[in-house]
Amino acid sequence: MGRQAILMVLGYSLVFLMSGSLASNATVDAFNNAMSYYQGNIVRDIAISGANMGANYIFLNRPLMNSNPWWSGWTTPVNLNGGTFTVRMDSVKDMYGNWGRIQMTVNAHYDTANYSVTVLFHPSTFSKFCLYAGSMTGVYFEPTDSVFGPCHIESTLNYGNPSGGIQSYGAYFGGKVTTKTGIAALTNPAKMPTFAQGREDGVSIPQSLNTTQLVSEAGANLFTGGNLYLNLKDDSVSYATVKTGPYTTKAISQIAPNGVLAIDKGTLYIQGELSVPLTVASVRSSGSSGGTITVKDNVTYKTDPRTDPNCNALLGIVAYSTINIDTTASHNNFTVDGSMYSQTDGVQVVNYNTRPRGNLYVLGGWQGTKIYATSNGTTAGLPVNVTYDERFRVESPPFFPGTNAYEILSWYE
Amino acid sequence: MGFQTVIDLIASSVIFGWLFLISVSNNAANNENSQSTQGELLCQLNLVELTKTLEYDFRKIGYCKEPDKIPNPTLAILLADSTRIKFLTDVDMGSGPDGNVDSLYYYLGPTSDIHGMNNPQARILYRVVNTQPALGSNLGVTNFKLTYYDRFGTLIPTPVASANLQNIYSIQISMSVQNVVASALSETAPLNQQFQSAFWQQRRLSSRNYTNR
Repeated sequence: MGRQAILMVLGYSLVFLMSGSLASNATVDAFNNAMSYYQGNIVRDIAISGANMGANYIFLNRPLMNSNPWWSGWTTPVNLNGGTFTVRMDSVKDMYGNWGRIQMTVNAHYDTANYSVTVLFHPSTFSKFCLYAGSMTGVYFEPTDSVFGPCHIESTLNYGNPSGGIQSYGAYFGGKVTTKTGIAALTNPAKMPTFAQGREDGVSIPQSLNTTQLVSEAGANLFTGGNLYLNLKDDSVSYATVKTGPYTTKAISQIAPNGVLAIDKGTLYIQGELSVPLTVASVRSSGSSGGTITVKDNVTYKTDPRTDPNCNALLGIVAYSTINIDTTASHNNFTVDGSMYSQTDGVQVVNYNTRPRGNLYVLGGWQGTKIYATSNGTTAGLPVNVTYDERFRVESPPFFPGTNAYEILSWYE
Repeated sequence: MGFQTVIDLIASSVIFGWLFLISVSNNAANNENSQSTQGELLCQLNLVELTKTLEYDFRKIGYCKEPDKIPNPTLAILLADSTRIKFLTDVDMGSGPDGNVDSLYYYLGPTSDIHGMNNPQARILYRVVNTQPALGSNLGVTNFKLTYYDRFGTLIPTPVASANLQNIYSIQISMSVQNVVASALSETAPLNQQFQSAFWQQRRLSSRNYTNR
């Protein structure tokens, strides 16, 4: 009987030992599972940090931009937080087969865990702005103003309230807003604008019209002096140096293989309908005259890019000096599809305070040193309705002036 | 077989019975403990797998290998509610992102979707790619809550109105997972059922692609 009791005790001890072992293993597995998740977080943090460091290097050194040397990344593992990471750089094409984008691949390693982050950059251009102003001296955003795309003010963003009582709301900014020196109320009282996508101050993006790049690197078809009249017709253009002609018609791919038509030290007049990417430019390589553009009549895309996903027309209107909107008095509703850039001035509506009242619709963007009134607010002129062309967030007209910086397009992890 | 022998037999039977009862009791407790530990492990494994999947997908809101196809990533969230979300992304179908825009829809199913399991609170977290059938397995999700904030950290009420979808900047994800079967049962089941549970919360998840332009 005693021996059997001992056997029973031994048997149960064995069972308890096995159960204890199983329970212990389960606890260890649970710990390992938690540690695996923890390691995953650590290695991800290392990869993200590496990507941020690499992006910072790219923003500061801008490889391949302005004759800067290429950067091949950090191929030797960099120690960070108990792990390592490497950075590899590649030059890649966009979906249309064009070069210019760069891709950064960060591989991080921590203990047994690995993690990769791939970041795609492209050269940023001013066409990404729905509204860019170099200065807002003496002008301000009223409560009825709204901007539905990215906006940058290379000075102080002024806001205010016109006479006649304060509104219960301020101007509305639907896109990301950046300013160089913050915001200020020019009237008292004034209602603070709404910045739906946030606002970041202390950001400086000075204008830079690189004539050499626009003319030489782009291989632009360059006219010099005088006037240049352009009538766009789908994928071709009729042009003349005298308004009354004679006009010569050529395919845009023939007269501007890289998509840039330019005149130096002269005035460019434009109107018509477009179905392919094109940048028209009026530059001023020297002297004190020329470099202006006058939009004579509607300039539109053949199809509306908001409804036609196959529309690949992109128009850039680039001037060293003023871009004039000059229509016939009877032409009330006036449309410009494209992004308008003025290096030293802005967009002006001719006779804005005396001409019959109408509307100026812009599908694209508006970038200039100055902002001008386009109507007298009541009876004359062309109140402006700028609708941002969402394609400009990632695309731009050929050789459109760049911001001399790279911008992150996508982040894959 | 004298009187002493009878006393010995009775005493040894009592001792044996006592030892036997202790053993049975210990065995039952041990089994319950073992099941409980295993249940916790299973619960934790399920939670981590779900967490990894959610983090992987949610970090790609607005991502496309060809970024031109999602020019404005802030429009990538198509639907946002407390237990469901639908967004645009580039789903890895097995060979990496293919550069085509896909829609991804997560939603928490009703408890009635689960049959034959004795956890009455368990639900299935469904994942729907484009128009494919909803996929999900019973991993014991009992709570899945999404909370949305704008870039100033202000709470956006759910369901998020379509006009406010663009204002979503970060998402708080809360999730509880329980075992789908009880680790211990008593005679008075189901009131005394024990389900191991684990809770996870991502306080502020913000996709880089959603805000990078």
